[in-house]
Amino acid sequence: MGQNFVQWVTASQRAVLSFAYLLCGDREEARDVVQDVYSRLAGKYDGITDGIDAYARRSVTNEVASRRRRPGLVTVPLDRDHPAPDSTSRVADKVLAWRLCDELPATQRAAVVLRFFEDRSFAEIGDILDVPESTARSHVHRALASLRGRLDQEAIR
Amino acid sequence: MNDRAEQAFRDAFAEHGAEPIQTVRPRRRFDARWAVAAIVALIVLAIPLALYQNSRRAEPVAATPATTQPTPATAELSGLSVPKEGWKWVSRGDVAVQVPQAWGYSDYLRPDWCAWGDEPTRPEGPYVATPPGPVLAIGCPDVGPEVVRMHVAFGAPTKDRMPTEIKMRAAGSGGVWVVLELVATDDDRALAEEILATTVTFERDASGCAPQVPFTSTDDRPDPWDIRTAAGVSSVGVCRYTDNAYSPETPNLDGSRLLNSEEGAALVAAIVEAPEGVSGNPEECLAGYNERAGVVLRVADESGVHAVYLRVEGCRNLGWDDGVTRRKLTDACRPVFAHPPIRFDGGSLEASENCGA
Repeated sequence: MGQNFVQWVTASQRAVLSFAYLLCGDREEARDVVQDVYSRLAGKYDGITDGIDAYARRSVTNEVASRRRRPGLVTVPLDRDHPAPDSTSRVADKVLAWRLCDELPATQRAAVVLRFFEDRSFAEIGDILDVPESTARSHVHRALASLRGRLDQEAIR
Repeated sequence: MNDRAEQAFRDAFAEHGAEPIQTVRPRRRFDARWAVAAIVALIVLAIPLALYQNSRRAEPVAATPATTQPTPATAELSGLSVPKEGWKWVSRGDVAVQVPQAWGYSDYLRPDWCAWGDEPTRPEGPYVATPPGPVLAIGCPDVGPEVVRMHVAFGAPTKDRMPTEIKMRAAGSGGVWVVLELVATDDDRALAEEILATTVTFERDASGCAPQVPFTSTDDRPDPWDIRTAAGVSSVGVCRYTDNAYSPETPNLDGSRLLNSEEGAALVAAIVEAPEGVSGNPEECLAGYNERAGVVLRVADESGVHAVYLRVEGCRNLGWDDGVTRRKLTDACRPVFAHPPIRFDGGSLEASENCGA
């Protein structure tokens, strides 16, 4: 059984790390989050026979949300700055989208990541986040509406 | 239908999600005793380290070419001198050091897994610390300096690596350090100094491995050599490299091991039997991820020394490559990772099933 867990972690951690990073935007925090999640799952793995990947993503989402609620948590990124965007509209759009993510509630951000990074259906997003499909759809649509507003503002500058 | 906002999210996530993220870092819990020990050790070490680094700037550790004839078993591969009687070479990065032949490898203080509540088994004797893996020390019990066993490790010391007295020597891109037990004797200290005195940097280690992986992408291939033509395999050097995408100038040899004639010939025969093609699923790829990780086999046979690549990380071009033919992953790779310090650090489930322990 233990070996199964090791194999699952080995196989899943790249994708789970990416998911965590897209939710929190910080590599160090993403590694912390994933390690915490794996640590907790280690004791439960044998009891979760179905949907372990979805469970892990839900756990990551909850962990990020929980960290956002804790007061006084300040993370200082040590990595290099990202290169400045070029002048094309597409670059500007994705920069705006990435900035907007920082303002989204954790669950809404998770829904957007699952939709547009992992190409999940709304039903799958609902299963992963443990919310009704309609709520998953609403999360994504609200985020899109917010971004459209930002894009419109940018266009009239 | 993709509108502009949707596409913006997709582009943003594609860009940021594709950034290579090192796998989960080692982390170890500390109790107060360790913290105090670490602070004391930091203070104690600060002065000699500073003095040493000054002296190192003045007299850098030079690469040591072979000064005596290699032993027959490693004649084709080793770039280092014959070790002292009863000693052997161990290496990581671009640094090698001799340790007594009886020393084994252990991950005792930095184990892969503790989540099952088991206290790691303390090695019976001194050892060489295996390189840290991708996921370490989850749910481990706190341990104090009283359980530390004498061992050699590579790299720059960090506070969680100094629970007891250590001796260290900077060299190459990092250094070597000998961790002593809580109650160290003068003999222990003398042995530590004797070990450190053998420290060298190298272009090829005792298994014929270079400090840096010879490829920069999973598309790179070795010089063509049809492994089916191998004859009279005398030894095979197994060179394990981790991804160093963030600091490609840093030597990334994680460990090496030498297979004797019998082991090497068996491995070559098993590789030949692997079906042609590549393993992995490129659709799972994150761009730039684990492009520089893998294993390089240095096969010594009657015709010379030849490189064969084995890629198990990432999701593209996984499997064996002799520069002529790519072959899929099979359980032929399992012996490669069967003994430390060569470790299987993860990858696709396919790679894990074929090559993992």
